Amino acid sequence: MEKGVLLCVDDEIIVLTALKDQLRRAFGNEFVIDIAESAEEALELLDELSAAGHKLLVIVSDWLMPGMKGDEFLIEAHKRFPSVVKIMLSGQAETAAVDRARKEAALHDFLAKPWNAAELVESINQGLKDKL
Amino acid sequence: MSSGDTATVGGSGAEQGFERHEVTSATSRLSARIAALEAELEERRHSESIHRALYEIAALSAADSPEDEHYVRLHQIVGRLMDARNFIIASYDADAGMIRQDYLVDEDPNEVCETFPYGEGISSLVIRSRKPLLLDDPQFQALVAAGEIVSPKGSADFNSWMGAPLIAQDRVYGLIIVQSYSPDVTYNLGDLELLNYVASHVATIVARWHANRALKLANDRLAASAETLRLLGDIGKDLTGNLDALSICTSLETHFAELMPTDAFGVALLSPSGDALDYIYYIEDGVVDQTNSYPLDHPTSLAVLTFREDRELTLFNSSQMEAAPTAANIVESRPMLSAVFRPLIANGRRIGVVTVQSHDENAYQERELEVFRSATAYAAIALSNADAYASAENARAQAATALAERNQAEAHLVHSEKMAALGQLIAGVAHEINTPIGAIKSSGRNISEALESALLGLPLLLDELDSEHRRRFSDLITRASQPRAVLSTREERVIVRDVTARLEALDVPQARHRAGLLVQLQAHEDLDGMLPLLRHDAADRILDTAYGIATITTNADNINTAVDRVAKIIFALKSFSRFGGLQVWTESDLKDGLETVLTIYQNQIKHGTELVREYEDLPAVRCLPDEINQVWTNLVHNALQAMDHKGTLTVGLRREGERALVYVGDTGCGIAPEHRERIFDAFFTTKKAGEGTGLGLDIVRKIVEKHGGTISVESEVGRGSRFTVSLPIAGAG
Repeated sequence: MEKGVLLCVDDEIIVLTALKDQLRRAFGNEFVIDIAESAEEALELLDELSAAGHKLLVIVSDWLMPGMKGDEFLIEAHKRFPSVVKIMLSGQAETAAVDRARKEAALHDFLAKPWNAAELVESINQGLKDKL
Repeated sequence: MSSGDTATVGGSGAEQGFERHEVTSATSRLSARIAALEAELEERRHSESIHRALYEIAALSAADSPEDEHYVRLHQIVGRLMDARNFIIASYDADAGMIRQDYLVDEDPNEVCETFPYGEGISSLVIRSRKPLLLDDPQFQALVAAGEIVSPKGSADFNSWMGAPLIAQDRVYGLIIVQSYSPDVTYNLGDLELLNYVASHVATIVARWHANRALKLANDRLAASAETLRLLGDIGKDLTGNLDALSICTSLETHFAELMPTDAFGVALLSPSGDALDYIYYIEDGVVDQTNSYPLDHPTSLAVLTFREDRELTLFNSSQMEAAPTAANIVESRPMLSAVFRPLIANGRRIGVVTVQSHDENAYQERELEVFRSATAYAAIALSNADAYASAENARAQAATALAERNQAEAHLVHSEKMAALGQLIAGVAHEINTPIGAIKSSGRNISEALESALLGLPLLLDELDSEHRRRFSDLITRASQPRAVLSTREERVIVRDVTARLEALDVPQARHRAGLLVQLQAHEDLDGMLPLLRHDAADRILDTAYGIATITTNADNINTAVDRVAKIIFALKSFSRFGGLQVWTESDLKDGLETVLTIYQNQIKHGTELVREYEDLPAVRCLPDEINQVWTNLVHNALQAMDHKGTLTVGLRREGERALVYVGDTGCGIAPEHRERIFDAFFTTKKAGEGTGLGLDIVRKIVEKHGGTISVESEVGRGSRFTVSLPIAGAG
């Protein structure tokens, strides 16, 4: 059994770099931390991981990205992996989009950039705990 | 008579009776001859004195006009020819029907020169009949009885009266009269003939005097009208060269005062509302008043009457003057007895009334009226011009104010437009800063935590490694600290997958996890070198510690990148929001400006726009960078709006000779052909109210033109638009 996967999606590599190390330190022993630069790439990755037998546990996604926006992506991901904990981490998100994600993607939490690492970790832990 | 006759006379004593008879007849013959001689002599003397008289009369013709002395001379001349103690020369004016006594000498001291109408007296009879007339009392009575003449006294007061008409060129100029009150002097027909003869010569002289006088009068009139014309010319020049209504009035007053009695003078103009006459100037006996106004339905104002009836009003006596207006603020010293009012008419339009008034009766004769009329006409034109000028001035001033206001409004709108755009942008850009700041914060924390764990774990780990593993570990750290190639997550994932497969083939546990770490540490290219570490008991700690140390480097790099991002955004915001500051022509890289604008819009572009940059290398362009950046801002803004942020935004730079071409294209809705001509006009907009002022492209055009450049647009409805700005590289001018 492969480790569970924690996926970060953001179009900014600096955000992904920071997130990856941050989450690896918090969850590196339990989960694989994966990153994707766009929603489209993330969806591809989800299929790959799923095929490889990884269990997707958490998605942390930005909202404003070229191409597919965060809410749309999370709704799509929710269709395929309804049990995944979905968190939106964004510097700017339209309220309507966040509301839609809450309703249609069972959004677990919304965090604003610049984010607090402890809060993010706490939110992920809370989300994982809720799923059990 | 011979000398023999004398001898005969001396020798004829014997025949005395015969001789006596002969002597007597000879004596009477002699005396007859003497008488004849005397008569002849007398006649000759008389004739001579007549000739002399005529000669002297002719001499008088040298004079241009009759003076008293000429009449005196005539009197003397006639006096030598006959008894002329009572002598009259009178002239007859047929046009006026008057007889005027020019010269009168009379024994009766009560008699003086008189002027009386041509009519029924004896002077008139002489003129009427054109014949000399000799009268005594009975003849006078007979004429009265025959109705030829009328005598108020009923009888003649003379003993004898002669009158001879002065006729020259068939015209009666007057008559000469001699008369006697004394019974001693009674004129006969011979005297009458003589008087008539003299009169015919005098008539020639009088005719000449008359002609001279007429000529002189004509000359004088000519001179006077020339002078009037000159004065009117001066007035016209003075008035029409003036554009100030009040100084036109005072100038007119000054001229009138030189030419005619001007005790009061006024100019009233139709009020702007058109329902009253306002005296813009009124002066009476030196006191000025400018406050009077009469409604056009004023019952007694003569100015109003003149205006209403559109005719000249002349008043020459006190009763006519009673209704004349007086200025309320002027106390009349003496009543005005003459006044003229005349409408001011310019371009067929009544604009007011002018009046001039005098304390004297009949102050204004034809000449004064002529001057007044002409000057009034000039004044009307001048006042109308002044009014037009004042209106034009006023309009000009208003236009200037309006222009200034418009400029201000436009500047304000430009500013508003910019501030609105900036306001829209700022929210997005602020968020834009949150992203790198979040990264910085996290990376900073990552570094401190990695440092902490590395510092704690490293000594213990190194203790556990032998020299061979230590060397390999050191090698791993070195690789991890190398500057890393920028890989996309996709590319990285391909590598990780590959490394995972190789590790699985080597039977390394946790292949995928470790492959990920090795790729991060840039150690996957030397897997064989890494294998001893991977097979070590403390493999996990070795990799985690190495990764922790690498984290410090990558996160430090990440912080630098993020800080650069923040700096770039701050710089863009700073350049973008600078407004109205000192504009300086600068050699500027257009690419930098475009990138600044794209940074500002990055946030909006991300909403679904693909950005394509087509940059050619260009020399720096001389421009006003802030203004030029405003052009790119507007074009990028419009392009994004035109395609609702979904499509391709193409930004390009190209060189064409000495010009730099900058183009901004979109794949939006395009511009309808009927709008293409108008999009650069101020206030033209197809946007909904509140979305744009319609000034954007007008401002763009103005800025481009200021740079000596041009802007053009290609567009296809449904396919998109491309705006191209062409700027001279060397700058404007």
